[in-house]
Amino acid sequence: METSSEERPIIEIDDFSFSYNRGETDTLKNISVSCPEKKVTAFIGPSGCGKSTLLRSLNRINDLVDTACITNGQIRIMGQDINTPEVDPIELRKNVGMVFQKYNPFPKSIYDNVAYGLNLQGKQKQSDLDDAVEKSLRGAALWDEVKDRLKDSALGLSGGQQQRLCIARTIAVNPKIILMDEPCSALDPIATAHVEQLINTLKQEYTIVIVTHSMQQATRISDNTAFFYLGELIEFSPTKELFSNPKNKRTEDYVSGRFG
Amino acid sequence: MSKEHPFINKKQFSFLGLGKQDAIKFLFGGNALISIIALILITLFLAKESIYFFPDYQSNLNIYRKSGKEFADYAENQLKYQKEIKSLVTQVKQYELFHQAGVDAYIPELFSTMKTVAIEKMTSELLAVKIAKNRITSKEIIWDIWSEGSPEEQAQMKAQKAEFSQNLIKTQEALTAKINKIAPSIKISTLSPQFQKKAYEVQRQEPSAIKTLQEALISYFSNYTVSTKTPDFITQSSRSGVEKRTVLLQTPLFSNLSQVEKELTETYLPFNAFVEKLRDHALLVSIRAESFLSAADRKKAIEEGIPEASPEKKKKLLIDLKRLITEDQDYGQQAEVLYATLPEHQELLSKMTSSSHAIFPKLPNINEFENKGARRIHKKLTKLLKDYDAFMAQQRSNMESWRHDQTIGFLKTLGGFVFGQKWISNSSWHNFFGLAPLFGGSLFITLIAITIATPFAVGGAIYVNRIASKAEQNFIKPIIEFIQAIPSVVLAFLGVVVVGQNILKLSYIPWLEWLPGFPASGEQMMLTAGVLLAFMAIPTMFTLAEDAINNVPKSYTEASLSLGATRLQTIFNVIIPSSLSGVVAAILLGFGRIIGETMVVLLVAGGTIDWPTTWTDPVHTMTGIIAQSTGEAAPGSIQYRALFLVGLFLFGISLIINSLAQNVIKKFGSKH
Repeated sequence: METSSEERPIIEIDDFSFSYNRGETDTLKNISVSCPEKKVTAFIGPSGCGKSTLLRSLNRINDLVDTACITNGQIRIMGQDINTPEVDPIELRKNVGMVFQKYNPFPKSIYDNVAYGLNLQGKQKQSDLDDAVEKSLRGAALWDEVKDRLKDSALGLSGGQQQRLCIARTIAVNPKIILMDEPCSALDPIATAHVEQLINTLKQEYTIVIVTHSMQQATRISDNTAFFYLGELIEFSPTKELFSNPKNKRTEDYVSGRFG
Repeated sequence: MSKEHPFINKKQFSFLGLGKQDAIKFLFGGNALISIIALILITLFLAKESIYFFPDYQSNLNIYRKSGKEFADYAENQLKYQKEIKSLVTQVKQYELFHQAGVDAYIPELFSTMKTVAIEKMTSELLAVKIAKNRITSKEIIWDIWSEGSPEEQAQMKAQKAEFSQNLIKTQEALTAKINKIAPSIKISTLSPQFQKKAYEVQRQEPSAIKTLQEALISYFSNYTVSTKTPDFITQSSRSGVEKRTVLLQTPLFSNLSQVEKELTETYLPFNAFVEKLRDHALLVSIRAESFLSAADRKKAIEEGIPEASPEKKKKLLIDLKRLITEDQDYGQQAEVLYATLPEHQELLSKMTSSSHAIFPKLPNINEFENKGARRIHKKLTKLLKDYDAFMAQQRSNMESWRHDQTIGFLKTLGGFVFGQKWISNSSWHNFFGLAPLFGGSLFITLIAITIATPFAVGGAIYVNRIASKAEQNFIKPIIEFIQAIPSVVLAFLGVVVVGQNILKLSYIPWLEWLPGFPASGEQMMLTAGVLLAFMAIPTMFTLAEDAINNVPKSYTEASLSLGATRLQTIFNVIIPSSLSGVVAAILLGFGRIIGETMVVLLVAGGTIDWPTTWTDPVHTMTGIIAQSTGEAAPGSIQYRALFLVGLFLFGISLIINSLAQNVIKKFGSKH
């Protein structure tokens, strides 16, 4: 089972179909994508094409929907099929963190937000915790802005800061993969630039899968891009290739702005 | 003709210079205004009726002092203390005696009670037996006479005899079948309430006793046509119960107790007579004082009536006027009589205390008692004895420093109302209106109810909102909210019949005896009311708490789960802290709902006006007293006003709690 990361992509989505209504209609249809380790993979496509659904399947947060079910195929992360009964979703999510479209820090202090994931794993030494919080905040390029007010409520930060706090919160538990669901859609251009910069730094340590509506953003930050349309994967190739030389007509129409 | 601009409204609706928009504004504004005015009027009305209570109560308390009732009560307190000690000794003796005599003492009584229940349930079968028997007895003489008749007649008689006895056997069979069927249903809970306590006591000491008695019932009625003799073991236990008690009373422990009991009664007889004398004097003075007070009002009324009255009526009124006591008595002179009794009191008191001190050491030690109830009362007794001297001296010094002419001020009147331990109306001695025991009853019942309801309501809300599936949600929510539709009086029935009974039963379970207040003395108590009110508060609290939890964004849950939290960790670390203000508000509003509830507490709280000491005590409440005595209080009387004041107080509490809840929501509610 164990293979080195160079040879084998960390996420392998294999002929995957998914339904929100007990299999009546498939939201995702026979998707196959593989994301290499320590690279940024972008999912693009018009609204309702299933890119967020696929993302949310990667850490099984879709389990919250009672009627959701997988109708075909499998998702393997680090070689393990994540939808078998022996997989503990809690352990999976510790390794596959997620950043949401609308920044959602808890109504707690900045410090407690970052320390949240660590505190879940049992009692931690205060000094270890302090180190981890600082490291994560530095990792999210937020440390200098908030180091003097760690005990203040996280809800007092600006939108961009709150989103970076959510990223800091995610990397604090030291995941292998970070999923980002349109992380910049609620941010202004300056805050977006901060986050994009951050993503570029983060990919040295983490594998990142990002859903985005902005094709410019995809070109700026991603290594590979997958284009989805109506629940189907239309094209998946290195970003430069997909944007400069799309193989599929629909991809071409979309990236050139003719629809979507 | 210039064409009108399209923005100009061609036809303006107008009434008294007001446009359509204004009319709508006034309509809705008026509705809001009416609610506000109603609220103000209610407050004013309550305040107006109750504010007069204070001067009335002040004069009431002043009469209490001036007339010497207060003086007499100090002596009465001493007497009561002494009597209480004696009565506790008697109780200790009774508890221990019945314990040591064993269940035998109760068995015969219990059997006859159960038999009565059985007979009520089998009236038709028993009637059939009786008729069959009567038919036989009425023919027996004839059969005797004809037994020497012709063979033909003899055969006829024989056939009739056989038929009749066959008939009797048949009725017996029916009876046997019936008793076998109903015997198991004759349980403790079907007996009349006054026997239940004894029955539970029997069951506690002898768990199989009830079953044995049921079997005895079966065998008694299965043999009913042959003999109606009480089963042997019953008569035996009756005899042995009496014997045992007689023997027990000879043992040192009980003979000692009886001796103490007797001697204690003797200690207070002369003192009792002395107190009676004081009370008679004070009562007379207070009656005169009260009629003088009312005379002033009456005089004024008559004088106002005279000019309008007819000549005859006028005559009558003038006579009435002359009869009125218009001159107040000399209280100083009356009080002198009381002051003069102080030496006599001193003498009688020291006699009583010194002879009591000679008796107290004879009381058996607590270790000599086996029964838990007896031990509990013994502890109470020991405490009374410890405080004996201090109490007597305190009351004596109160008497010495008592002055009839020290008037009671407003603050003391207020204190007398708020902290007064007695609420007595229509008393032949003196009426008191002290809020404390009623407030205590309301408060403790509410606290019990909240303690029970909170986990259910909040837990239920969390489950429904965060864990349950859609189908479960649609099932659970309406059901919990439906509880609210149950009329409280119906719930109170349930309380009397089911909840109270079962708590009483529970309190007699031996291994629960360590709980304070167990076993309970009756089914009406704070705990019963608390349980029912908790049930009533759950829908309110559940709905509000569920709203609060629902307001926690789903994204918090997703974020928490994405960080590797379990569902439970998410609930406790994110959802509850985020919705805490709403949950607290829900609890507060539940509190407000419960403290104002009337019907349930009136029917199941017990109605004893006393500051509660444990959760199984019967109590009365503020709402209960209003519902109970408003009908009997004459409008304008002091009791009537006292009730209004209680109402105002209750209103104030609800107002404070509601505004508190609103503040909690406003202050911490909309953070997310």
